[in-house]
Amino acid sequence: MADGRIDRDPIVDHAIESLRALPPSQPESVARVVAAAARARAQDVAPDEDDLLADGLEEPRGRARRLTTIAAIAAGILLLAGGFALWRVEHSRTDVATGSPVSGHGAATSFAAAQGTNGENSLDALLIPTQFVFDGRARHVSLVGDFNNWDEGATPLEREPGSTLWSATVPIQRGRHIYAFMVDSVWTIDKRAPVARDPDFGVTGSVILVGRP
Amino acid sequence: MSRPLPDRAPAPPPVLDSTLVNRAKLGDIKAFESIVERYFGRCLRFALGMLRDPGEADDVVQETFVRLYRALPRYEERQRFDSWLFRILGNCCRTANLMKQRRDSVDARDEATMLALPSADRTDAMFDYEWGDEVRRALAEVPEYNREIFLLHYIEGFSYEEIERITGIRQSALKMRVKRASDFLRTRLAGVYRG
Repeated sequence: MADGRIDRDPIVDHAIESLRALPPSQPESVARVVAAAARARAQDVAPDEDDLLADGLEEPRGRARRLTTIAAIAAGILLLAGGFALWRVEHSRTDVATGSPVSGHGAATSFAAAQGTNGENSLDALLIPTQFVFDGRARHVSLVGDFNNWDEGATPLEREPGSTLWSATVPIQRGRHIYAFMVDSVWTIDKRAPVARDPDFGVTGSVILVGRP
Repeated sequence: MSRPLPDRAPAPPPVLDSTLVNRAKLGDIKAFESIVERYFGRCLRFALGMLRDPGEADDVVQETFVRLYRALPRYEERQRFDSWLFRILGNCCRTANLMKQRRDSVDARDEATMLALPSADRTDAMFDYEWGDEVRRALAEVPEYNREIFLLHYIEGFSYEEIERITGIRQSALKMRVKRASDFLRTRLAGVYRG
Protein backbone atom coordinates (compact mmCIF):
# COMPACT_ATOMS: atom_id res chain seq x y z
CA MET A 1 0.00 0.00 0.00
CA ALA A 2 1.47 3.27 -1.05
CA ASP A 3 0.10 5.36 1.81
CA GLY A 4 -0.76 2.93 4.58
CA ARG A 5 -4.13 4.61 5.11
CA ILE A 6 -7.06 2.62 6.34
CA ASP A 7 -9.82 5.18 5.74
CA ARG A 8 -10.85 3.62 2.46
CA ASP A 9 -13.55 5.59 0.74
CA PRO A 10 -15.39 4.12 -2.26
CA ILE A 11 -15.84 7.48 -3.98
CA VAL A 12 -12.17 8.40 -3.82
CA ASP A 13 -11.06 4.87 -4.62
CA HIS A 14 -13.18 4.73 -7.75
CA ALA A 15 -12.04 8.23 -8.74
CA ILE A 16 -8.44 7.07 -8.45
CA GLU A 17 -9.22 3.99 -10.52
CA SER A 18 -10.76 6.17 -13.20
CA LEU A 19 -7.80 8.56 -13.28
CA ARG A 20 -5.34 5.71 -13.68
CA ALA A 21 -6.64 4.95 -17.16
CA LEU A 22 -3.72 5.62 -19.49
CA PRO A 23 -4.30 7.68 -22.64
CA PRO A 24 -4.23 5.63 -25.82
CA SER A 25 -0.84 4.86 -27.29
CA GLN A 26 0.38 7.59 -29.65
CA PRO A 27 3.33 6.40 -31.73
CA GLU A 28 3.31 9.57 -33.83
CA SER A 29 3.59 11.70 -30.70
CA VAL A 30 6.53 9.62 -29.51
CA ALA A 31 8.23 10.07 -32.88
CA ARG A 32 7.62 13.82 -32.73
CA VAL A 33 9.10 14.02 -29.24
CA VAL A 34 12.18 12.04 -30.19
CA ALA A 35 12.76 14.19 -33.27
CA ALA A 36 12.40 17.40 -31.25
CA ALA A 37 14.80 16.13 -28.58
CA ALA A 38 17.36 15.10 -31.17
CA ARG A 39 17.16 18.52 -32.81
CA ALA A 40 17.54 20.29 -29.49
CA ARG A 41 20.55 18.29 -28.45
CA ALA A 42 22.13 18.75 -31.85
CA GLN A 43 21.79 22.48 -31.36
CA ASP A 44 23.44 22.24 -27.92
CA VAL A 45 26.51 20.55 -29.35
CA ALA A 46 27.03 19.59 -32.96
CA PRO A 47 29.50 16.70 -33.00
CA ASP A 48 31.08 15.51 -36.21
CA GLU A 49 29.29 12.61 -37.77
CA ASP A 50 32.35 10.42 -37.45
CA ASP A 51 32.20 10.92 -33.70
CA LEU A 52 29.21 8.64 -33.57
CA LEU A 53 29.19 4.93 -34.13
CA ALA A 54 26.41 3.33 -36.08
CA ASP A 55 24.56 2.39 -32.88
CA GLY A 56 24.71 5.92 -31.60
CA LEU A 57 27.45 5.38 -29.02
CA GLU A 58 30.33 7.79 -29.23
CA GLU A 59 33.96 6.89 -29.58
CA PRO A 60 36.15 7.98 -26.66
CA ARG A 61 38.06 10.41 -28.90
CA GLY A 62 34.84 12.06 -30.09
CA ARG A 63 33.45 12.12 -26.57
CA ALA A 64 36.55 13.85 -25.24
CA ARG A 65 36.34 16.47 -27.97
CA ARG A 66 32.66 16.91 -27.24
CA LEU A 67 33.29 17.27 -23.51
CA THR A 68 35.88 19.93 -24.25
CA THR A 69 33.30 21.80 -26.32
CA ILE A 70 30.70 21.43 -23.57
CA ALA A 71 33.20 22.66 -20.99
CA ALA A 72 33.97 25.72 -23.09
CA ILE A 73 30.28 26.49 -23.57
CA ALA A 74 29.58 25.89 -19.87
CA ALA A 75 32.41 28.22 -18.88
CA GLY A 76 30.96 30.91 -21.12
CA ILE A 77 27.49 30.40 -19.68
CA LEU A 78 28.85 30.52 -16.14
CA LEU A 79 30.63 33.79 -16.85
CA LEU A 80 27.46 35.27 -18.33
CA ALA A 81 25.34 33.91 -15.47
CA GLY A 82 27.74 35.30 -12.89
CA GLY A 83 27.62 38.71 -14.48
CA PHE A 84 23.87 38.55 -14.76
CA ALA A 85 23.52 37.47 -11.12
CA LEU A 86 25.63 40.44 -10.00
CA TRP A 87 23.49 42.70 -12.16
CA ARG A 88 20.35 41.20 -10.61
CA VAL A 89 21.62 41.69 -7.07
CA GLU A 90 22.43 45.31 -7.73
CA HIS A 91 19.06 45.96 -9.37
CA SER A 92 17.17 44.08 -6.65
CA ARG A 93 18.72 46.30 -4.04
CA THR A 94 17.79 49.34 -6.05
CA ASP A 95 14.20 48.13 -6.57
CA VAL A 96 13.55 47.43 -2.93
CA ALA A 97 15.23 50.57 -1.71
CA THR A 98 13.15 52.77 -3.96
CA GLY A 99 9.84 51.08 -3.36
CA SER A 100 6.83 53.01 -2.17
CA PRO A 101 6.47 53.32 1.58
CA VAL A 102 3.90 50.90 2.95
CA SER A 103 1.28 51.85 5.45
CA GLY A 104 -1.96 50.51 6.82
CA HIS A 105 -2.84 47.13 8.22
CA GLY A 106 -0.86 45.13 5.71
CA ALA A 107 0.25 45.29 2.12
CA ALA A 108 2.21 43.47 -0.52
CA THR A 109 4.18 45.52 -3.01
CA SER A 110 5.78 44.32 -6.22
CA PHE A 111 8.78 46.24 -7.44
CA ALA A 112 8.61 44.81 -10.91
CA ALA A 113 6.87 47.65 -12.67
CA ALA A 114 10.18 49.32 -13.33
CA GLN A 115 11.16 46.40 -15.51
CA GLY A 116 8.77 47.61 -18.20
CA THR A 117 6.73 45.49 -20.54
CA ASN A 118 9.18 44.86 -23.35
CA GLY A 119 10.47 41.35 -23.86
CA GLU A 120 7.84 39.82 -21.61
CA ASN A 121 8.56 36.25 -22.60
CA SER A 122 12.21 36.50 -21.67
CA LEU A 123 11.24 37.91 -18.29
CA ASP A 124 8.87 35.11 -17.40
CA ALA A 125 11.54 33.07 -15.70
CA LEU A 126 12.96 35.98 -13.71
CA LEU A 127 12.41 36.11 -9.99
CA ILE A 128 11.26 39.54 -8.94
CA PRO A 129 11.93 40.72 -5.37
CA THR A 130 8.53 41.42 -3.87
CA GLN A 131 7.97 42.89 -0.44
CA PHE A 132 5.21 41.72 1.86
CA VAL A 133 4.29 43.81 4.89
CA PHE A 134 2.03 43.01 7.80
CA ASP A 135 1.10 45.55 10.44
CA GLY A 136 -0.05 44.17 13.76
CA ARG A 137 0.95 42.86 17.16
CA ALA A 138 2.15 39.27 17.09
CA ARG A 139 4.83 36.99 18.43
CA HIS A 140 5.60 35.45 15.04
CA VAL A 141 4.50 36.21 11.51
CA SER A 142 5.32 34.23 8.39
CA LEU A 143 4.27 34.22 4.78
CA VAL A 144 2.66 31.30 2.98
CA GLY A 145 1.83 31.23 -0.69
CA ASP A 146 1.93 29.25 -3.89
CA PHE A 147 5.48 30.55 -4.41
CA ASN A 148 6.85 28.86 -1.24
CA ASN A 149 4.74 25.70 -1.32
CA TRP A 150 2.60 27.04 1.51
CA ASP A 151 5.38 26.22 3.90
CA GLU A 152 4.82 28.11 7.13
CA GLY A 153 8.45 27.85 8.07
CA ALA A 154 9.88 28.99 4.76
CA THR A 155 9.41 32.75 4.91
CA PRO A 156 9.31 34.37 8.36
CA LEU A 157 8.67 38.11 8.45
CA GLU A 158 11.01 40.32 10.46
CA ARG A 159 9.63 42.96 12.76
CA GLU A 160 10.96 46.47 12.46
CA PRO A 161 12.35 47.36 15.89
CA GLY A 162 10.04 49.59 17.90
CA SER A 163 7.06 49.12 15.58
CA THR A 164 4.35 46.67 14.71
CA LEU A 165 5.48 46.42 11.09
CA TRP A 166 6.65 43.03 9.86
CA SER A 167 8.13 42.53 6.43
CA ALA A 168 9.84 40.06 4.16
CA THR A 169 11.08 40.36 0.61
CA VAL A 170 10.69 37.27 -1.53
CA PRO A 171 11.86 36.56 -5.09
CA ILE A 172 8.76 35.56 -7.07
CA GLN A 173 8.06 34.79 -10.70
CA ARG A 174 5.92 37.15 -12.71
CA GLY A 175 2.23 36.41 -12.63
CA ARG A 176 -0.70 36.07 -10.25
CA HIS A 177 0.03 34.59 -6.87
CA ILE A 178 -2.07 33.74 -3.85
CA TYR A 179 -0.75 34.17 -0.34
CA ALA A 180 -1.63 34.75 3.29
CA PHE A 181 0.10 35.61 6.53
CA MET A 182 0.38 33.12 9.36
CA VAL A 183 0.08 35.34 12.42
CA ASP A 184 0.97 33.25 15.47
CA SER A 185 0.01 30.26 13.33
CA VAL A 186 -3.38 31.75 12.45
CA TRP A 187 -4.23 32.10 8.76
CA THR A 188 -4.66 35.84 8.12
CA ILE A 189 -5.40 37.45 4.77
CA ASP A 190 -3.81 40.70 3.71
CA LYS A 191 -6.62 43.17 4.18
CA ARG A 192 -5.07 45.62 1.74
CA ALA A 193 -4.95 43.12 -1.11
CA PRO A 194 -7.69 41.65 -3.29
CA VAL A 195 -9.24 38.43 -2.04
CA ALA A 196 -8.57 35.31 -4.10
CA ARG A 197 -11.49 33.38 -5.46
CA ASP A 198 -9.48 30.17 -5.43
CA PRO A 199 -10.61 27.92 -2.58
CA ASP A 200 -7.12 27.32 -1.20
CA PHE A 201 -7.12 25.18 1.91
CA GLY A 202 -10.85 25.84 2.19
CA VAL A 203 -10.27 29.48 3.10
CA THR A 204 -9.67 32.60 1.08
CA GLY A 205 -6.25 34.03 0.44
CA SER A 206 -4.94 37.31 -0.91
CA VAL A 207 -3.85 37.98 -4.47
CA ILE A 208 -0.77 39.76 -5.74
CA LEU A 209 0.07 40.40 -9.38
CA VAL A 210 3.82 40.43 -9.76
CA GLY A 211 5.40 42.16 -12.69
CA ARG A 212 2.48 44.37 -13.63
CA PRO A 213 2.60 48.13 -13.31
CA MET B 1 -25.05 -3.39 -6.84
CA SER B 2 -21.90 -1.92 -5.35
CA ARG B 3 -18.65 -2.50 -7.12
CA PRO B 4 -15.59 -3.89 -5.32
CA LEU B 5 -13.13 -1.28 -4.15
CA PRO B 6 -10.14 -1.00 -6.45
CA ASP B 7 -6.65 -1.15 -5.03
CA ARG B 8 -5.38 2.32 -4.13
CA ALA B 9 -1.77 1.31 -4.47
CA PRO B 10 -0.93 1.14 -8.18
CA ALA B 11 1.28 -1.58 -9.51
CA PRO B 12 4.93 -0.59 -9.08
CA PRO B 13 6.35 0.89 -12.28
CA PRO B 14 8.81 -1.36 -14.10
CA VAL B 15 12.42 -0.69 -13.28
CA LEU B 16 14.17 1.03 -16.13
CA ASP B 17 17.19 -0.74 -17.49
CA SER B 18 20.16 1.38 -16.47
CA THR B 19 21.96 0.34 -19.65
CA LEU B 20 19.21 2.05 -21.63
CA VAL B 21 19.71 5.27 -19.70
CA ASN B 22 23.46 5.10 -20.07
CA ARG B 23 23.17 4.61 -23.81
CA ALA B 24 20.77 7.56 -24.02
CA LYS B 25 23.20 9.64 -21.96
CA LEU B 26 25.81 8.99 -24.60
CA GLY B 27 23.49 10.19 -27.33
CA ASP B 28 21.95 6.93 -28.51
CA ILE B 29 18.67 8.20 -29.92
CA LYS B 30 17.22 4.69 -30.18
CA ALA B 31 17.73 4.18 -26.47
CA PHE B 32 16.11 7.53 -25.81
CA GLU B 33 13.19 6.56 -28.03
CA SER B 34 12.69 3.43 -25.92
CA ILE B 35 12.60 5.59 -22.81
CA VAL B 36 10.02 7.93 -24.37
CA GLU B 37 7.87 4.98 -25.45
CA ARG B 38 7.98 3.60 -21.93
CA TYR B 39 7.02 6.81 -20.15
CA PHE B 40 5.02 8.83 -22.67
CA GLY B 41 1.62 7.49 -21.55
CA ARG B 42 2.28 8.14 -17.87
CA CYS B 43 3.61 11.62 -18.58
CA LEU B 44 0.62 12.47 -20.75
CA ARG B 45 -1.77 11.19 -18.09
CA PHE B 46 -0.06 13.32 -15.44
CA ALA B 47 -0.01 16.42 -17.68
CA LEU B 48 -3.71 16.01 -18.53
CA GLY B 49 -4.45 15.99 -14.81
CA MET B 50 -2.19 18.91 -13.99
CA LEU B 51 -2.73 21.42 -16.77
CA ARG B 52 -5.29 24.20 -16.74
CA ASP B 53 -5.47 23.74 -20.50
CA PRO B 54 -5.30 20.00 -21.23
CA GLY B 55 -4.90 20.87 -24.89
CA GLU B 56 -1.32 21.81 -24.04
CA ALA B 57 -0.52 18.37 -22.63
CA ASP B 58 1.19 17.05 -25.76
CA ASP B 59 3.40 20.12 -26.03
CA VAL B 60 4.28 20.08 -22.34
CA VAL B 61 5.23 16.41 -22.45
CA GLN B 62 7.35 17.09 -25.51
CA GLU B 63 9.08 19.98 -23.76
CA THR B 64 9.71 17.71 -20.78
CA PHE B 65 11.40 15.03 -22.84
CA VAL B 66 13.43 17.60 -24.74
CA ARG B 67 14.68 19.05 -21.46
CA LEU B 68 15.36 15.58 -20.15
CA TYR B 69 17.36 14.56 -23.19
CA ARG B 70 19.44 17.72 -23.05
CA ALA B 71 20.06 17.20 -19.34
CA LEU B 72 20.73 13.47 -19.57
CA PRO B 73 24.53 13.85 -19.54
CA ARG B 74 24.15 15.31 -16.04
CA TYR B 75 21.83 12.59 -14.77
CA GLU B 76 23.24 10.65 -11.82
CA GLU B 77 22.04 7.13 -11.23
CA ARG B 78 21.73 7.56 -7.47
CA GLN B 79 18.33 9.18 -8.04
CA ARG B 80 15.46 7.24 -9.53
CA PHE B 81 15.04 7.96 -13.19
CA ASP B 82 11.25 8.31 -13.09
CA SER B 83 11.51 10.64 -10.08
CA TRP B 84 13.82 12.87 -12.07
CA LEU B 85 11.53 12.74 -15.09
CA PHE B 86 8.45 13.67 -13.07
CA ARG B 87 10.30 16.50 -11.36
CA ILE B 88 11.01 18.00 -14.79
CA LEU B 89 7.43 17.30 -15.88
CA GLY B 90 6.00 18.94 -12.76
CA ASN B 91 8.10 22.04 -13.41
CA CYS B 92 6.94 22.16 -17.03
CA CYS B 93 3.29 21.81 -15.99
CA ARG B 94 3.54 24.55 -13.38
CA THR B 95 5.24 26.85 -15.85
CA ALA B 96 2.55 26.16 -18.45
CA ASN B 97 -0.17 26.84 -15.88
CA LEU B 98 1.49 30.08 -14.88
CA MET B 99 1.66 31.18 -18.50
CA LYS B 100 -1.95 30.17 -19.03
CA GLN B 101 -2.96 32.08 -15.91
CA ARG B 102 -1.19 35.14 -17.21
CA ARG B 103 -2.95 34.89 -20.55
CA ASP B 104 -6.34 34.57 -18.94
CA SER B 105 -7.56 37.45 -16.88
CA VAL B 106 -10.40 35.32 -15.62
CA ASP B 107 -10.24 32.11 -13.65
CA ALA B 108 -9.24 29.33 -16.08
CA ARG B 109 -11.47 26.84 -14.34
CA ASP B 110 -14.47 27.88 -16.37
CA GLU B 111 -16.96 25.58 -17.96
CA ALA B 112 -15.40 25.84 -21.40
CA THR B 113 -12.11 24.50 -20.07
CA MET B 114 -13.85 21.68 -18.28
CA LEU B 115 -15.75 20.73 -21.40
CA ALA B 116 -12.51 20.64 -23.36
CA LEU B 117 -11.10 17.92 -21.14
CA PRO B 118 -10.37 14.89 -23.27
CA SER B 119 -11.88 11.64 -22.24
CA ALA B 120 -9.88 8.57 -21.40
CA ASP B 121 -9.98 5.69 -23.83
CA ARG B 122 -12.89 3.92 -22.18
CA THR B 123 -15.24 1.58 -23.99
CA ASP B 124 -17.30 0.29 -21.07
CA ALA B 125 -20.67 1.48 -19.81
CA MET B 126 -21.98 5.01 -20.21
CA PHE B 127 -21.89 5.41 -16.44
CA ASP B 128 -18.16 4.87 -16.44
CA TYR B 129 -17.78 7.42 -19.21
CA GLU B 130 -19.81 10.00 -17.32
CA TRP B 131 -18.11 9.13 -14.07
CA GLY B 132 -14.66 9.52 -15.62
CA ASP B 133 -15.68 12.87 -17.04
CA GLU B 134 -16.99 14.02 -13.67
CA VAL B 135 -13.80 12.88 -11.97
CA ARG B 136 -11.62 14.86 -14.36
CA ARG B 137 -13.79 17.94 -13.91
CA ALA B 138 -13.55 17.60 -10.14
CA LEU B 139 -9.80 17.03 -10.29
CA ALA B 140 -9.38 20.21 -12.33
CA GLU B 141 -10.93 22.13 -9.44
CA VAL B 142 -8.47 20.81 -6.87
CA PRO B 143 -5.80 23.46 -6.19
CA GLU B 144 -2.68 22.78 -8.23
CA TYR B 145 -0.36 22.25 -5.24
CA ASN B 146 -2.68 19.58 -3.82
CA ARG B 147 -3.50 18.06 -7.19
CA GLU B 148 0.14 17.49 -8.12
CA ILE B 149 0.88 15.54 -4.95
CA PHE B 150 -2.35 13.56 -5.23
CA LEU B 151 -1.49 12.55 -8.80
CA LEU B 152 2.11 11.66 -7.97
CA HIS B 153 1.03 9.50 -5.05
CA TYR B 154 -2.17 7.78 -6.05
CA ILE B 155 -1.95 7.80 -9.84
CA GLU B 156 1.78 7.57 -10.52
CA GLY B 157 2.51 5.42 -7.48
CA PHE B 158 5.33 7.39 -5.86
CA SER B 159 5.79 6.93 -2.13
CA TYR B 160 5.73 9.99 0.13
CA GLU B 161 9.44 9.55 0.68
CA GLU B 162 10.05 9.67 -3.05
CA ILE B 163 7.74 12.66 -3.53
CA GLU B 164 9.66 14.47 -0.81
CA ARG B 165 12.79 13.92 -2.85
CA ILE B 166 11.02 15.13 -6.01
CA THR B 167 9.40 18.25 -4.59
CA GLY B 168 11.42 19.09 -1.49
CA ILE B 169 8.21 19.26 0.54
CA ARG B 170 8.08 17.56 3.92
CA GLN B 171 6.14 14.30 4.14
CA SER B 172 3.72 15.62 6.76
CA ALA B 173 2.75 18.43 4.40
CA LEU B 174 2.49 16.01 1.49
CA LYS B 175 0.06 13.79 3.40
CA MET B 176 -2.04 16.81 4.29
CA ARG B 177 -2.21 17.84 0.64
CA VAL B 178 -3.26 14.39 -0.47
CA LYS B 179 -5.90 14.32 2.26
CA ARG B 180 -7.24 17.72 1.19
CA ALA B 181 -7.40 16.63 -2.43
CA SER B 182 -9.15 13.40 -1.44
CA ASP B 183 -11.61 15.27 0.79
CA PHE B 184 -12.34 17.70 -2.01
CA LEU B 185 -12.97 14.91 -4.53
CA ARG B 186 -15.16 13.02 -2.08
CA THR B 187 -17.33 16.07 -1.42
CA ARG B 188 -17.43 17.14 -5.03
CA LEU B 189 -18.30 13.68 -6.39
CA ALA B 190 -20.70 12.54 -3.69
CA GLY B 191 -23.68 13.84 -5.63
CA VAL B 192 -22.89 11.91 -8.81
CA TYR B 193 -21.44 8.70 -7.39
CA ARG B 194 -23.73 5.73 -7.82
CA GLY B 195 -21.60 2.97 -6.31
